[in-house]
Amino acid sequence: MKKISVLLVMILTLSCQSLMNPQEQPVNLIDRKNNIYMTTCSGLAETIGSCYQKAQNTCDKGYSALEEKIDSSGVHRMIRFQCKD
Amino acid sequence: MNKNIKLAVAGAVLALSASTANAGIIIPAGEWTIDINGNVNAFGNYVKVKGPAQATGNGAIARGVAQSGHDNAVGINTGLLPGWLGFTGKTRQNDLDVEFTISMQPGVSNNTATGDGLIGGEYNAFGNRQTYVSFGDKSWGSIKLGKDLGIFASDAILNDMTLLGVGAMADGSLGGLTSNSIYNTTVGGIGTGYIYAAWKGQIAYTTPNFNGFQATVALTNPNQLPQASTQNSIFNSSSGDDPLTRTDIQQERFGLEAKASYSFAGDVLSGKVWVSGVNYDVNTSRTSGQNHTVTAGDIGVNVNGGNFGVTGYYYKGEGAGTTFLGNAGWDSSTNAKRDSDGGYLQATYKLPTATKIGVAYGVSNLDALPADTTLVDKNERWTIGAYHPLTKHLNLVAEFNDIESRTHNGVKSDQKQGSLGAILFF
Repeated sequence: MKKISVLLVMILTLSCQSLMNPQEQPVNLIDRKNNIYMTTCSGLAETIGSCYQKAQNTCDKGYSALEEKIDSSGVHRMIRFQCKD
Repeated sequence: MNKNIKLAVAGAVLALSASTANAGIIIPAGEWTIDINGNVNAFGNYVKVKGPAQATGNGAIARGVAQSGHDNAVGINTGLLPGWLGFTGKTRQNDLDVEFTISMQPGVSNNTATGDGLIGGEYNAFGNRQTYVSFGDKSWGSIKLGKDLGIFASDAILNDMTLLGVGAMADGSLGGLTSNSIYNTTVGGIGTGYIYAAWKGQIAYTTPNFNGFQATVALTNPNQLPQASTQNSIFNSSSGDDPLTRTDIQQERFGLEAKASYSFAGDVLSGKVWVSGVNYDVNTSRTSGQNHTVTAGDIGVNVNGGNFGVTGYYYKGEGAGTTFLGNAGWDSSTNAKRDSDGGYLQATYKLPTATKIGVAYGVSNLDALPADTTLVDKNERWTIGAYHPLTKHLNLVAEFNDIESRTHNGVKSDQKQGSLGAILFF
């Protein structure tokens, strides 16, 4: 119960209106001809899973992952993917 | 319908993809592309300890009141990851992708009077984790020479949500509970779920990426294990760990480390499964010729679906000790090895506000030899965290950590921490 209370306090703290304009790392089209995109999901609020989530949201007919990178510091993550036709 | 992953390494990107990722400030410079990357993070921390004494013995994480003289403290410190300024240069020459990386890690934590590291030599909080060159091609893989993150257990720390947060504070010292707070960073989940991969001199070969499967084998610097007679895991000249007399920094065989991983992505789930292992031959006495081996292996999985993410990890070792590789891994008088194991479970969920919340439990166990009494038996950690992306490069962090350490003779100490802070990455 104590841990749940602490979690609720954390969430409330982070729920201030001034903080409610979150910004996710964008998806960039890097090869229009081949429909290839790149996105990062670095830092603490995103995970490698959110990179793939963004790929899924970008491609209506599915995607193929072309490349996944995670650096040694654990900060930087990136995927390249290709939307299916 | 599942999507087939095709993790083909392409273009001018090194096949050694696990160690590099373009994400910093990119500067074209003639034949080279320079990537300046890193992070700055700081946290306000509150620590409260409970228990009559620290669970003494090497490897105990939580601290007791008896060692501190008081039961709570505050501090402003770096988290598990130190501040970071890295320079990576890449080019392609003669059909080879060539890269160098040099990075430095200035920290926030310094409890000296000037706070700049210019006095109190051993308290200087400045690191150098990477100095390496690599070359390769997508057709045959790549070779890395230099210092970078160790191979064994590297995925354990890279998947730990406290890596960019706080996690456990070793001995509670970052909160100011001790007078000699020498640590630049917290220890996150190190020692409470996994052994630190550390930063090691290495010669590593990484295969090309075969549809998501990739493997790395490496020769590593064998002289970074703890001092054999004192089991000190951190070199300390004032305590007599003279590198000129330490027998365990004059090893006769390279360390061997390896890992293999498989990444997958589908309509519903994406993730990664990995295994890694380590083997060192340790000479503990030049005069008597005593030696033994340190071996350990691990397995882990990270699965993400929708807004959920789950990570599970387990390791087991002989002579591998706890917290740091080899730390308390053997009895220095008899050379008998101790077994150890541990792991962690972690779940995260992204709220509609884009705030990620997470909960994790980790434990590291160290078996006792017949003569052991005060040796640490177990370090456990519960972490609850909330991480909010204020901008695409700035995250706010709130964390609560509860760490408990126990010895084989029943001494228990408990340490609770609250942390609020931010990390900016570039």
